[in-house]
Amino acid sequence: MADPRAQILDRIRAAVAAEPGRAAAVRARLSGHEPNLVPARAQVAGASAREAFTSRMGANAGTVQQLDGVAEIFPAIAAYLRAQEVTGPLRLQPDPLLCGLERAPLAPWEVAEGVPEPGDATGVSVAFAGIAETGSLLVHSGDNAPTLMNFLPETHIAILPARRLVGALEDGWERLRRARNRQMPRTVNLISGPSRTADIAMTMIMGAHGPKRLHVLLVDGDDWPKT
Amino acid sequence: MTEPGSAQRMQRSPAAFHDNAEQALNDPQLQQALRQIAAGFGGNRRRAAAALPEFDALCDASAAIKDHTLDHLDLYLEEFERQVLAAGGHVHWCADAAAARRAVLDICREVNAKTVTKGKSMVAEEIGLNRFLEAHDIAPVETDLGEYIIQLAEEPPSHIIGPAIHKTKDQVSDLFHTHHRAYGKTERLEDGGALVAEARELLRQKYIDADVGITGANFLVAETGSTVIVTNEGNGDLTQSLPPVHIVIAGIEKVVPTLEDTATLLRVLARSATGQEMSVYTTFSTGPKRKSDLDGPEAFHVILLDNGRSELLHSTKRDILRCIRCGACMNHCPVYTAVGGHSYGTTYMGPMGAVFSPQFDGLDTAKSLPFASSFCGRCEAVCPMRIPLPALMREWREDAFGTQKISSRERWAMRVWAWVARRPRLYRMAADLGVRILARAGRDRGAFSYLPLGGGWTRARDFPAPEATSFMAAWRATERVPEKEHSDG
Repeated sequence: MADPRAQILDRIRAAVAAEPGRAAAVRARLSGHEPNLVPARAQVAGASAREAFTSRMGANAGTVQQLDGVAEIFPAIAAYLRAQEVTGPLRLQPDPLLCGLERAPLAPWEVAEGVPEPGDATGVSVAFAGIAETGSLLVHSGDNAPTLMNFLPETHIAILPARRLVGALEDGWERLRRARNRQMPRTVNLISGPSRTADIAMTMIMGAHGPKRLHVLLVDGDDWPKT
Repeated sequence: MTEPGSAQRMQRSPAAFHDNAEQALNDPQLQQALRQIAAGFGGNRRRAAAALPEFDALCDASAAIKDHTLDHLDLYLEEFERQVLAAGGHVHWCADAAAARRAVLDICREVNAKTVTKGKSMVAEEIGLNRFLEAHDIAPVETDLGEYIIQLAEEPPSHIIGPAIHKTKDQVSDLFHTHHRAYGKTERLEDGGALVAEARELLRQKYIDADVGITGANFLVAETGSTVIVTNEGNGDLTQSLPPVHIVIAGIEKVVPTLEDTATLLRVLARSATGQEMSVYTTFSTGPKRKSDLDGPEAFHVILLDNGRSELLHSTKRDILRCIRCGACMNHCPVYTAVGGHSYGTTYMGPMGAVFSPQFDGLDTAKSLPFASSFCGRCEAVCPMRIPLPALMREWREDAFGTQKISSRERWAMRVWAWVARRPRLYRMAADLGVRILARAGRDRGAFSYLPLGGGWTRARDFPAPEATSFMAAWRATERVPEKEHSDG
């Protein structure tokens, strides 16, 4: 049997115009990273980016809470979990800064670091970027960032350092390329609210397989590096 | 009156479209389910498009991205492959469905897989993957709630983004009640939230037990070698993060050049599909887990499926390859929303299905589908990829006519009609005569319950008697009105 790869590519080549300069056009497009049309609403920064992110994450059924600094993170998490009546184990992303914070406010919960397990009720992660245009978080897998933190626990608390807010998804891609030296991580997730389904009679129900609730802590200060 | 769950008895062949459609029209539960589509998806799409001033321009940009990619498809696929390999993944080129099934099976056997979890994939449906895996003693578990429901019901999807859209909540209650007994769940749940919670609980263990996770792909990014899935439930992410092997199955037309191009397409995809600005989870997967990663699969495979797509690229139906599977065309189709997806008897349904299916299933069996359209043009109007769906259906009609796949009686009648229609004077005379005869014959009832040669029409409905004059005759009469009365409009 013929090599299917060669067979498929040959059939494609027979169907497309063999213009000179095709390869150069493709190389230019691949390395240019040229944005296409970016909507006006995505071209925001500073306070208007913060406002857009907060209202759109709200429209996505997530919640956003502003904090003045990292010291407020664990007290805010404790208050949120108490209000939502979440009592089960809490898993922290093994981020050195996050795990180095004063743990006392989390005393009522069983707290562990690392990859979440099925019994964990709450996962806490640090986002790589926030996209104002759509109210989305951009997170990725890495040395101290398990992907499952964003999916396995029923309650997801995401920390978004305010300086990591960008306007458009394209801005997020540029930052990711810079931070990762153009190496894509195994997993990059854009997360726009908590999990949901409308597969039963087109009625929206929250918490299908991923988190039932998503709470974003938008933290001011320069403790986490800008991305 | 048809019994609940009658969709199961619909024939899974496009050759049975007419019988299936008749059955669908007489199924009150199906009709109840279908009524929600136009109002739900249709209204949501309209609001989402209206809320973004650049929506139309983004559709044009999106169509241009796909056209550029299709013009350079060989080169982008080669680049995509290069990047997947560089990230430590594998690429399997498969010419047809059988080759793709075999490639998946080989990967599963390598790791002695007993169960696989699956995210939603229409290409997996296209190649008939579940039945094939079952026949080889591997249990596929659908994890998208809609796919899970129809797997329990042993039915194919009836919509490309809402596979169980034909099921009422009552029917889902019955299915769960019957099938979840095996897990000790004996109560018949009626609340939607409780039904979702039960499926969530039972599927959790399946993700953890699975040896392989299979997902589809909304996009393949040539620049990075990434595969992209767009979901709302998060099932695809658990499917591809927990098992040690991740297999992605995708058609070769899913490739796009860059992350920037993907961003543009994402802006029109969810808006056109569910009316969301973004779906909840958009996930980019590139290779297996890195050495220092804390989770993720050890192995990453991409199955690249042709299965007739390169032939479409070579054909007059090439534009259909821009399709991003949003489902807007079927949500707005008067035929689809009347008869539902199962009537088509194919993997892909509605207007996009009527263009893909003659290629995938053969024009011989699927020739009815390009005719299952009133050519009202709504599908083309809402298609974010600017695919001229009615024109492409017409191409298939011409192919069917030209290759003798239409009955000789129909072909003969069309020829006579065409001969007359090319002679305006004769056509007008014939039309005037016909209209006068029909108007006179039908003046008492205003309609006919039977017409010679018109049995196909009058079997299911009356044929209205025409007015006393033809349209052309009425038009000629208005032309005599002095010119200036027209000019101030």
